[in-house]
Amino acid sequence: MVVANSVFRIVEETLPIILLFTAVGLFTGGFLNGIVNDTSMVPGLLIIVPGLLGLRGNISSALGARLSSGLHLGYISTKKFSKGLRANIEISILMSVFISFVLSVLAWQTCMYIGGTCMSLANFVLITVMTGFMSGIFMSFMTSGIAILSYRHGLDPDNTTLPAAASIGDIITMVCLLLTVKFVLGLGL
Amino acid sequence: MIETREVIKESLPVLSVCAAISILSGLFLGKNEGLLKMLPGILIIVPAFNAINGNISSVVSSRLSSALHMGLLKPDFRRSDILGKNIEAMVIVSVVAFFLLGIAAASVDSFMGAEAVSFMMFPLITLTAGLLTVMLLMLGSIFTSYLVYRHGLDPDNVVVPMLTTVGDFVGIFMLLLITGVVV
Repeated sequence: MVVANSVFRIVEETLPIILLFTAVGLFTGGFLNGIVNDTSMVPGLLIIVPGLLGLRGNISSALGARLSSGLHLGYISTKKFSKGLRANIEISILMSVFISFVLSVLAWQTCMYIGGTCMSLANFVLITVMTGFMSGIFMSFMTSGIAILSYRHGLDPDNTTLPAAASIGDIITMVCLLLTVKFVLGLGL
Repeated sequence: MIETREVIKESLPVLSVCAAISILSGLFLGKNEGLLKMLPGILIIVPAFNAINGNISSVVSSRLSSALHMGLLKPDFRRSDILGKNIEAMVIVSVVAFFLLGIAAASVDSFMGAEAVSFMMFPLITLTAGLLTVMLLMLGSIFTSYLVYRHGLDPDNVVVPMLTTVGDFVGIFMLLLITGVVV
């Protein structure tokens, strides 16, 4: 693989995956467009979008990598809900909430700095933390499910979990963001 | 086996730095909201555009680090056959992916009836912005892999997480810059 000695082979092996990710990315973009149409109601929201997507990708792939190691080493079982698994899921959700909070405060400050209209700090925090929490719960359980199922079927979870987490994570984050924005707008704070 | 406090202590600093850098990407998006509302096709391709850049650059850097580890590549900035072939292959993949992405953007735009830019302008925008970004990221990846490897660190642990975050930033910046120039 490394020494794939022809350009053609590298292209042949890489292109299909890249195109798959591109297609998934377009779905994510569709949701993003739906949210931006609401941004007159939630000004400054676009600032947190790359951060939310990046955060989800980073936390889910770290979780996937840790679970794969745990399964290979045997301290995470494929049969019962083990302590190691539980701790890993808790860490991911906890970190999602914490980093989302940091992200929302940074975004609010940035928004105030560049001027223009911004929603209140409370709205920034509420929308970002709720999105981080919801997508964190969903993605932690999904990543664990994929890792355990792969391992049970004799696949290396390192190879399956990471690409799945990266592509599904983006879509889930945008769906959660869209739902949260609708909810917060409904609250009318 | 798993020490909750350890994991949090090791990940929080990296994640916080990534969050801070990604705010810069968000800043560019927020500043160009008007442009993006005028051209929904461009907004819709932002996540896919970043995914292509991220994937291509992480594939290149993980290939580079494997080649370095196996001794097939020496970190000395000379012409090398393996490096050349990898770059060539990635340029081909990028051209195909960015061209298709441009066509997708153009279709979305004409479907939504927002015709601020002609159809063929979109592939032109995505190809120019995409190739510039990929080129910059590949240079960065080669340079940092060599540097990191020379200092006895494993490029796998350092270069990939850094590239994905910086890549989002460079990608969004380039995409909006080229779009702004064309419109």
